[in-house]
Amino acid sequence: MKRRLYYMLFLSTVMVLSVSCKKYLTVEPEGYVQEENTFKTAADAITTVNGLYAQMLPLVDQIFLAGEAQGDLAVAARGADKYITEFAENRVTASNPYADYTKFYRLILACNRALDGLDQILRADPVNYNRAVYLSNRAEVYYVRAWTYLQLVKIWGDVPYVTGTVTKAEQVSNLAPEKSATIIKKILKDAEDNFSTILTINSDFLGTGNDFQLTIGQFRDLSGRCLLAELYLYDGNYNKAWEIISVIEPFGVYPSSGGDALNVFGMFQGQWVNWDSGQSRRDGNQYQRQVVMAINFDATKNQTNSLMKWTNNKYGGQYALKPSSIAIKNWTSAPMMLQQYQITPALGYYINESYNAGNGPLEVLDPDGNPIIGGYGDYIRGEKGSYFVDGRDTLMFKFLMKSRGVPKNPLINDKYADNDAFFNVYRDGPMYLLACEIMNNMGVPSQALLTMNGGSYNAYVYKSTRYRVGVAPFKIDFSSPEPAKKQVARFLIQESAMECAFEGRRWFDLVRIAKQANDPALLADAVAKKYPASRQAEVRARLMNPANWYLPVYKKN
Amino acid sequence: MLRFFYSLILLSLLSQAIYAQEWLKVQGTVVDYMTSKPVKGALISVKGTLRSASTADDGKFTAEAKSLYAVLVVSYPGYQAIEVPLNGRDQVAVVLVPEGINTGESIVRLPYYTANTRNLNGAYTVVQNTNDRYRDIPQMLQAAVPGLEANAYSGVPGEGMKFNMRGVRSLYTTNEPLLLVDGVMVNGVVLDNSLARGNVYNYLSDINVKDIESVTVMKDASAAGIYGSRAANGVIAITTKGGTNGKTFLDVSYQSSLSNRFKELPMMNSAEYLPYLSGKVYSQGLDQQKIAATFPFFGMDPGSAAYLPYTNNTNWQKEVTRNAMNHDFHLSLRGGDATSKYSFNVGYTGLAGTVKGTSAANLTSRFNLDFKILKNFSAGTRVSFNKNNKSLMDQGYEERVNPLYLGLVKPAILSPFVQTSPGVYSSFYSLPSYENLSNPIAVVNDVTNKVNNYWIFSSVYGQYNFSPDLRSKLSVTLDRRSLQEDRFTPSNAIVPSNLDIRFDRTSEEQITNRQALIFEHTLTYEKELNTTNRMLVFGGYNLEMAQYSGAYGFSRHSTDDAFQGLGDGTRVNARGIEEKYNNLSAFVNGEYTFREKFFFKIGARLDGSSKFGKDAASGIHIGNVPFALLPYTGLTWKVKSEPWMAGLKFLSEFNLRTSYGVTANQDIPLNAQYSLFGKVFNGPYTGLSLYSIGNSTLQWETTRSFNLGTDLSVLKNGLSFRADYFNTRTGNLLVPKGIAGANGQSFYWTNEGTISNHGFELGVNARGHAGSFIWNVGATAARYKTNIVSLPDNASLTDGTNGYTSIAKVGQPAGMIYGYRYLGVFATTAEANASGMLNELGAPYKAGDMYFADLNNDKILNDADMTVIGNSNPELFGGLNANLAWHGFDLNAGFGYSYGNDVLNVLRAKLENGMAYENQSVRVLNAWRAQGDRTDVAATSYGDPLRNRRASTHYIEDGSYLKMRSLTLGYTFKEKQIRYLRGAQLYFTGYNLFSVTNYMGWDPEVTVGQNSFSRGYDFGNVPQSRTFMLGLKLGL
Repeated sequence: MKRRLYYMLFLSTVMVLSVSCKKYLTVEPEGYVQEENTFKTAADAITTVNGLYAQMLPLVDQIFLAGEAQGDLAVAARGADKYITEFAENRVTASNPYADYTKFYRLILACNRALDGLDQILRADPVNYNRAVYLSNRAEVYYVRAWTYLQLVKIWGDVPYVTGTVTKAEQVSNLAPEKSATIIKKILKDAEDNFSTILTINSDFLGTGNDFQLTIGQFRDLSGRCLLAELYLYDGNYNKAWEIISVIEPFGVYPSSGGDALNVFGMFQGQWVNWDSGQSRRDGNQYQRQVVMAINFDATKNQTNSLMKWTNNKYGGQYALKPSSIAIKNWTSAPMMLQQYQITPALGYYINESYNAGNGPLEVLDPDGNPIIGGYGDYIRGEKGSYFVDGRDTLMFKFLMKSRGVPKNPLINDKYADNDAFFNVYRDGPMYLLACEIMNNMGVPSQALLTMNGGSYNAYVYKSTRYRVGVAPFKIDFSSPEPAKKQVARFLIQESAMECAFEGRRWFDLVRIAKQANDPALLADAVAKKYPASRQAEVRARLMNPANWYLPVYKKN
Repeated sequence: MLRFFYSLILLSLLSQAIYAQEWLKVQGTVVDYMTSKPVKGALISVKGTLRSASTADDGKFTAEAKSLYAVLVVSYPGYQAIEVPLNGRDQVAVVLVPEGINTGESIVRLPYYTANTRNLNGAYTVVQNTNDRYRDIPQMLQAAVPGLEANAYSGVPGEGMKFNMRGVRSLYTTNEPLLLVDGVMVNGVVLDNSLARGNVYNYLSDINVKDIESVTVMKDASAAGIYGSRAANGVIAITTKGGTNGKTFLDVSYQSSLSNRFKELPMMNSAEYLPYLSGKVYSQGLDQQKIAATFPFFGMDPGSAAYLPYTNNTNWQKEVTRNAMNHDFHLSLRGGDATSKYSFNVGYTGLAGTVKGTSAANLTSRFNLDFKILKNFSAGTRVSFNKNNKSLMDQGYEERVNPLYLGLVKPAILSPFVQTSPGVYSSFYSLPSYENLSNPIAVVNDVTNKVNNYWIFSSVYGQYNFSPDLRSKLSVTLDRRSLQEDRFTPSNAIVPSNLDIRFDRTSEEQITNRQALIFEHTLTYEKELNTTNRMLVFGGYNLEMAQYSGAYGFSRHSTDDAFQGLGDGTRVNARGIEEKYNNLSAFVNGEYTFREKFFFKIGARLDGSSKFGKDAASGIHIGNVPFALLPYTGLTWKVKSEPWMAGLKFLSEFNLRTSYGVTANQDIPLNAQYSLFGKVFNGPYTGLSLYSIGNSTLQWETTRSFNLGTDLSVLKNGLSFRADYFNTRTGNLLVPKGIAGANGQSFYWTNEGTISNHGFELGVNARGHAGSFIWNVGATAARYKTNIVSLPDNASLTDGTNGYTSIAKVGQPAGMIYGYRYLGVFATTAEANASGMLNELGAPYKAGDMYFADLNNDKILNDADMTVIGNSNPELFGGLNANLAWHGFDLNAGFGYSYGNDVLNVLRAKLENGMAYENQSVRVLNAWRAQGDRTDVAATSYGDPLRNRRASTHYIEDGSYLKMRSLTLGYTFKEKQIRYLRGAQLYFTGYNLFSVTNYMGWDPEVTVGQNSFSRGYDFGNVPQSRTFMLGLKLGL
């Protein structure tokens, strides 16, 4: 009996000890959230979605390098290190840390996890987290994910398609890449499925709105449309792309019959509203009006990107990238029109000498934000719009800060300083060109060109990218043996060089247009031009192979 | 290992038969070591019995023992007591050595027991603090411990040392030995992120060397194994001075020293610099307007007042350095009686640095009390309290406000102060000019970097003796450290980081608190079973609760240099960190001694820690909690004790030692087992994002080590050798495992890797005397070879510090410097063209460019051309120690050497590439200028577009050195010379008197960081300077 008692005492001591021992030897980390606590309440859903947007910030540097430095508009400046030089000279190697796509997948995996997590929260807390909110959150997650995959595919081509999550060592895997076209189809499906929900997030086109800076940092109706249209474009489904984008003013209704005849009325029907006021809310800071969606860098939260550092030549700037001479020549040689042009279906474009109605486009602002009236095309898009000259140095300057103005004291080498910035994801200009590209591929180059040229027609003013800055319209030469579609593709390349320079899109535009036209020379010729004559042939030959258009996957040493 | 065990059992069975129960007679003589004359009246007692005898006039004695394997203890006032094992003899000759002469044998108080050093079973080195003359702990250990690499971090006062023993066992966790103070482990000795860039805080330097009685260095598994998961790098156990029985000692010592300016590096003077600058400006291709605006002095009339700021020849190195006086006071009061023993020590050290603006003041106090409260119960305390205040300056890689670096590169043509007329200085600093460098004088005077540290390390213990053999001890220790750092960078004459002078005042503050509560309970059974069998068994458990919290704040844009607080800036950034871990350990150790001939030891430690992942693969799981089970065993055979060795008279001692055991390293990242989600911001809103991938199988690194050693003494211990061979293999190496980018992270921590180390340590000691001239000369040598056996996927790991990279590669040692192989400088365009190579920027090489080997033969220089360019591990290292005494005089010299280690001289790279308008080394005068120039200094180019600074064999230098670390001449006053004093010593020491090296920098003894990827880089830390010290010690 006594022995048994001892035995039981011993056993219970061991049990108590081992339980308390486990407790004693488990110290949860402080200052972090543990995985099992991430999806519990409705508040966690908000935190999760915010966390996804926050993870878009670190991607900007690489998107900019891939999208801009590889293109024809940027060259390496004297401060370029070897990695940036590799981008500027189209010879990125696998040891280049900017070719590391880990952070893109970090965001994708976070999206994957969020999709599971939102389900969990809905199950756990259906009262505070109702289904409507759930659906809109989920739609946003799908759009963030689709956007991220699209960037991956644009930069690296064929990449692994990951649907699971990796938060623990045992979940680590080694996936083989999938064809980029397949990936586009998959993410397109997600975007389609959630399109109607994305549209409900905010349909306030013209409303007074609450916080501009926040709403442009989010996927919602307009940005959702832009992304979906872009996906259809990459997928080659131009009719669907047009269906999605045309709803956004002022593209109007493209006539289903009548071929490529210029149907100005159809395009202009009832569409006189400027893109800027139609697309985004007005803000005290007029510079931002044309932004549909942007990645928001808030320096007070230590959020910075490297764009100012790379492009600036003082205040700690590295001066690694500068505009190519081609980029500058584009602006300085573009034919300007002091008066606005008008359009007639019969005559095409002509200049109305007496026209000065409406005081010109409102987007044209001087550095102090005041509207400029008159011939200003180069001014608004070229020098002081996209670049400026400082002594012997030419500096890229576009959308690098939230407030426009020459960087007087950006303190950019200081991570604590005021280097707030927006990096535009979608803006009106590129979207005009996107619409143009879509229509051109639909087989209506004349209509497409109208979307790029713009013009005034009767009482309507269609302020497309060229019209609004007073640059002469492109004209298709129907007598040329070159097909109209190809001509418009060339115009697109020319116009995007002026409208979208230094926004981190140029290279992607070249790649896409060259692929659509099935003509690698469109890209190879454009990019080879930025090299000295002695190297052009070699570079051109290399770029004629589309396999060289995508970055290698980073491999440390 | 089992074989040892069985043979022991067999031996102990055999010994039963040999037991002799009747009293046996033992005869012998006792003589004086110095004079060889008989000692009359020496007391001979037989250990473990009450029997004793004393010597007659002729030094002879007859004693009685129960066995011829008993141990005699011989003592006489004024002489060191000695234990003499009979080893089967009935005739012994005993030599008594006067106090104060090092015999290499003494009683040492170890954490769990007290032992005679000759009976230590394992690779131990005991260093006694014999005469309180050491300046610091490293000086005490440097030349005395074979195999211990002790490198100074820098010459900044109070910065301490980095210790490394027996090679590199870990890539990412600590390679420092465990530090014990009075048996309690002191974790986190080095806190290496001081706000003063390039400085470290090392708690070891807060321990006053004069409080120390002895330091025991435990190297093999049999010595250190009891500390289990912290013992992989060995143990340094410090024992502080305890009280005495009866007599009271009051010792006062004072040391005063003068540290000299270190030697200046040869930089260009004004006459050399001006032509260099104009050449540079010319080659840069600036237009006239820009030149006139930036360099007004080029076109100036040398007589004009405006030219004054540029017409100097300032020796900036001299301006920022000084000869510095240091003081050290120490008071030690020790005493006691039959029931209590106490030791009270107070010290104050005031050190001034040779770089202006640096100093350290250290107050140390310690009170040790042992009190016998009841017949069987005693208790005591070990209380220490230290306060350390330092003033620091940036050093090493940091350039902007680093006075030493600025002192090198600030052009000599500039003046420290505004001049009112030629040579007449005003009190206003000269402001930075075209060169855009802060005024070094303003930096040393006005940049403040204050460090305040408080360290309380106190234990209380109680011990109950159940019987004379069995005792139990309980101790509780609190280790509480608070370190506060304040930094302020003013704007006056200091180049702001953003070029806006109005808004660059920056203030930084860092407060860290570290505390650990350690609770240990042990049970010890120590029994002399009979004269041939002795045993010691102890075991216990240990709980450690550790906590670290840190707060850091940064603010800038204070409105005036007078407002230096964190709150005075317009932008304040702050962050904090809080970390905790708990440890639970149990240990048991058994030792058995047979006839003082065989020493056998076996033990194990069971370590559990909250740092270990719950799914740790090795070890044992108790209630789902993983524990590391770490056993060890050791055997020493004192061959000389064998009766059949008795004939070899010249041989005084011959031991063979071997040990095998498993130890571990638990210094793994605290939260690496968890998947952590951290805060990110989307605009003002917080979001969560995965911060790291957790690995629940994360565990300790396991080191299996084998040791084989021998101790050999001949000629009455006149010449002794001590040699050890070791072979360790560390598995479960903690490494960041690189993973495919599609996993969203680039790595996770895992235990996948193996590293092996083998090598030897050798100590030689000769001592003797001729008349009253006594010598004791020793030398140590050690060599280790580290080999990385495996890494995850057998991929190499690169990591580094300040943009320089080291590589860990399978089949190679750790600590290999990674870079480019330098081939030379193109003398002519034809040569450059002939190479057909493109540089890293894709342009062809030009004449005057430095060029590197194209290892992958793709005709373009890129990362693929990097290779191992240097090995930071020495081939052989050690020290020499000589001690000569004659009458009251003694002379002690300590040397240190290292042979065959490579150093990447980063400072030289910076001083030779002319990337800006900075002053440069005189070597740049030989830079390439015109076609055909054959030189090894490349043409300098503004901005260094070709990165000539990069790590290359051009800057790899042989870091071998032989240094005289210290030379002391002392005089001990004789009793008749001092009337009212118990004793007095006067000594004069010179430190760093000379060194022999081919190294071109200040000092080849360089240390940067803690892990193996930061070894062997010289970023230009403050070198150790030559110091002369006068010391006086008085005993009352």
